[in-house]
Amino acid sequence: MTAGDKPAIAARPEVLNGPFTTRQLLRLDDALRGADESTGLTFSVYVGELDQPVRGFAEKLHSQLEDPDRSVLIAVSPNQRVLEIVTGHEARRRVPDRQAKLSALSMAAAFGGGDLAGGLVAGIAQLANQAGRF
Amino acid sequence: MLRYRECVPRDVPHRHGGRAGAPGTLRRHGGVELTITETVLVFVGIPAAVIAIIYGLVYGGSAARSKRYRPGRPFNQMAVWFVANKQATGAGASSSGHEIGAGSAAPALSGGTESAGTAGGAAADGSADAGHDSGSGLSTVSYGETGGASDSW
Repeated sequence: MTAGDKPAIAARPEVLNGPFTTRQLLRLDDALRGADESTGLTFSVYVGELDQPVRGFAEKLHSQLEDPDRSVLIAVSPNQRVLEIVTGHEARRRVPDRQAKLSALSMAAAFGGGDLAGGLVAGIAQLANQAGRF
Repeated sequence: MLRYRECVPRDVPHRHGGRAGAPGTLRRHGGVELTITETVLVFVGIPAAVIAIIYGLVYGGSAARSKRYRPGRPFNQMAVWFVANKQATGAGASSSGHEIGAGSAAPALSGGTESAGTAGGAAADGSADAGHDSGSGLSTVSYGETGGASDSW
């Protein structure tokens, strides 16, 4: 399904085909919403294959977001074992690259243990914490 | 012991099938006599049942968690992309992180771009970034504009 076809509520079965269980989806939803509300930035999570070059593809995904300048994209490719955090122009001021690298490290540690959802939730919380209140 | 022996006469036929030899002696010494079926049940049936229960406990639950990611094993789940659902504040809280792209990455995502933009136009800050969205094509993003970090595991 692509966005805008139907309201998001209709997307129930499709989402459950993804890598997350219902409980994990709820946690992820909570983390994303909390991060958005507390920072004013838009946080986004992509889990799937990333084409080569990985960084370029992640930036391309980031540019498709609603407001790329104020967005933070976390792109994870479990198969390639690669993780990319992309911050827009405005978001980069709030989340410096050094801090992004720090949360990337902690997320990669969780992913290395096989915990995708837990790593994402922790990473989002860490990034949001860094970005602070606006 | 002696008294007990005296109570039980030697020549009484055993009640199980009348085998007067060894079983009778066993019983007199306090042993338990088992038929072949009972023996099989106790020494094969019970261990088999225990093994089956443990097997079920170990592998029964894994069917539900088969989508779990294990590093090093192939991961063939559908690609998902989430942003927080800004419209859903109270009533629509049941809709978890609203999915804007799914399926094999590139085609579905590029297809979802325009619709994502229009959906966002309905949101609060639609007018502010409308010009920005229309202006930035996918190919115009240069690598210097964004920050972030990379890692692998």
